[in-house]
Amino acid sequence: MTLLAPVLGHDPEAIAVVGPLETMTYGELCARAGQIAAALTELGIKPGDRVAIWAEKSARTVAGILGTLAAGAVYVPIDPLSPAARAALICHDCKVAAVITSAVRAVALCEKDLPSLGVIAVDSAAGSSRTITWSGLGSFAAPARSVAAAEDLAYILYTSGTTGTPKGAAISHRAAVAFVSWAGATIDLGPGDRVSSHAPFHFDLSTFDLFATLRAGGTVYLLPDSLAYAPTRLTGFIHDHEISVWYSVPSALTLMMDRGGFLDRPPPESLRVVLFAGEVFPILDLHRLRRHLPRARFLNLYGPTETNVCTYYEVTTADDDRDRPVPIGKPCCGDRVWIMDEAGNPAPDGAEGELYVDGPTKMEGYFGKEPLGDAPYRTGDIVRRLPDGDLEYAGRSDDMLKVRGHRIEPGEIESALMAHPRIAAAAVVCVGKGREAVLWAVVVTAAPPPPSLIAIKHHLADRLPRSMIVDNVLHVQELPRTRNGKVDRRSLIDLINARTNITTAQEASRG
Amino acid sequence: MDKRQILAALRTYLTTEVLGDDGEDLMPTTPILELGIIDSLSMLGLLSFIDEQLDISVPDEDVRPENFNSLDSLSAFLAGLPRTSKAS
Repeated sequence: MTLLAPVLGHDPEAIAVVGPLETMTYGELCARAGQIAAALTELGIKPGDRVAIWAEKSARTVAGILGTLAAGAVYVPIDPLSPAARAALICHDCKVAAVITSAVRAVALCEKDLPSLGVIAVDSAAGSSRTITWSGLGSFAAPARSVAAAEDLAYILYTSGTTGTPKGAAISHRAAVAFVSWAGATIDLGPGDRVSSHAPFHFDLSTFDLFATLRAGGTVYLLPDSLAYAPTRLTGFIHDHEISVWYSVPSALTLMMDRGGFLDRPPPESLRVVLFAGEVFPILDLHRLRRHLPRARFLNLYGPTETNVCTYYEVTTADDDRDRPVPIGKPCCGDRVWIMDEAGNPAPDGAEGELYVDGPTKMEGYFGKEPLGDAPYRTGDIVRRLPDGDLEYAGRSDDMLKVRGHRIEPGEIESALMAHPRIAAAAVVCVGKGREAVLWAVVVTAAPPPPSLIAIKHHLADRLPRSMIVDNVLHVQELPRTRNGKVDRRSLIDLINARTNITTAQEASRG
Repeated sequence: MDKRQILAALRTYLTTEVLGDDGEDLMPTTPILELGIIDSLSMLGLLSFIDEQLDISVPDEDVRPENFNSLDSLSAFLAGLPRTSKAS
């Protein structure tokens, strides 16, 4: 079973994707996917090759993803707001053979030592000689087919790594299908459903939005990338499109409640399921939302990109008086989990330990690295088992941070910072919590003048995901260390708090 | 207010409120979205500033990356919008 096969069998007149610019029926979407698959083949793409998707969210981009799968190829989504240098880094890492993008981006990418890249342009301007434009797709006529085998790769998601080089989690059709078919069945997804697509395509939440919905014959409503900046429009989006299933990080829901007037409007009658994942949902915010939507189901989905969703918890009225975050629940999708102590032995009942995961949703491995094989995936997440069997999240076994649902590896940012010629040493810490979290780089300059914040941001944007670009920089003579020589992150946070409090106090006395 | 004045006001806002003292090399063409200088949170503050201090009301549907990707494009876009009547 592949991700694509069930998508091809729906009523061709039914609406498949509603995008910011255009809407496509299943008939149109599948026809486009077939044309794109044929065009990719014309560009020399063979089954198993990688095709980057570097474009804003649109119905055309969705057709590009399906077309890539119809060619038997593997799609590699890249943040549309990433600079060309970062996109090129990913393309080089997984040896991308073609890219589906805009003509302007294609030219920028081909200049990054990728001259022979095949291009399908989602706009109609021609980029390079190896570009097939959107209007040029008309000359290709072939029905979309599902040619991949279950064990073939479906997509590669680039995630945070500690080494300073990009790390692409390679997910097979079998693993992706294990999750989306479980999710579709669990929330009874069907042709009448109108599902929001909030997460960007390079974020793993998007695989539910696209594939659970399209496999079930529902309609995907793409939230334009710009809606993230306009919370009142997020609220309006749910009402205007009568969204029935919503899936996002909790901070997007909190933003809608706090700044988007969500609670001031009558509850949207259509909204029957709210799925959330990626970070802890502050319990008081969750209570507020549930009081506003008493008839909706609320599911907390858990799982790193490497295992997709592997446990879940359904919030019920029994949680109404809860004063701590909801658990991440019990295993799902056929996965198995273990809680292990530091020595790699099973942790005693109720004790904290690291969560190991194995089962159908687990990735094959990082692209170009040793496959995981039969080994369970070590999540790095610390959990404990509650008496009723639910797992409760208790933090991280390493320095990894979660900021607004994004994984942040301070070590990876630090490696990137140290690659700057004028930086001798660097440490990255997060100050504040939840939506107010601020990422700071504390740097020691190798040679004056110290690089400016904007210079540092440019340097990081070329190398890292946008979520890992620091917000602020603090220049110091040397990094404070603990007695055993490690960077003393606690005292760095105290130092930053002290500095920012002084600034705030000065501004207050000036005002 | 012409484009040049708007650009100067926006630059002052971003250097004092968002970047702190570290923003002196913020250029008109600096990609403010790509570098995360403007994200979903700081966008709300920026829109309030534009509304309250520049007396320009940005329609929700115009809050799009192509209008906000640099101070240059943002000030050009804002200069083409009408001032709200509360301006003295």
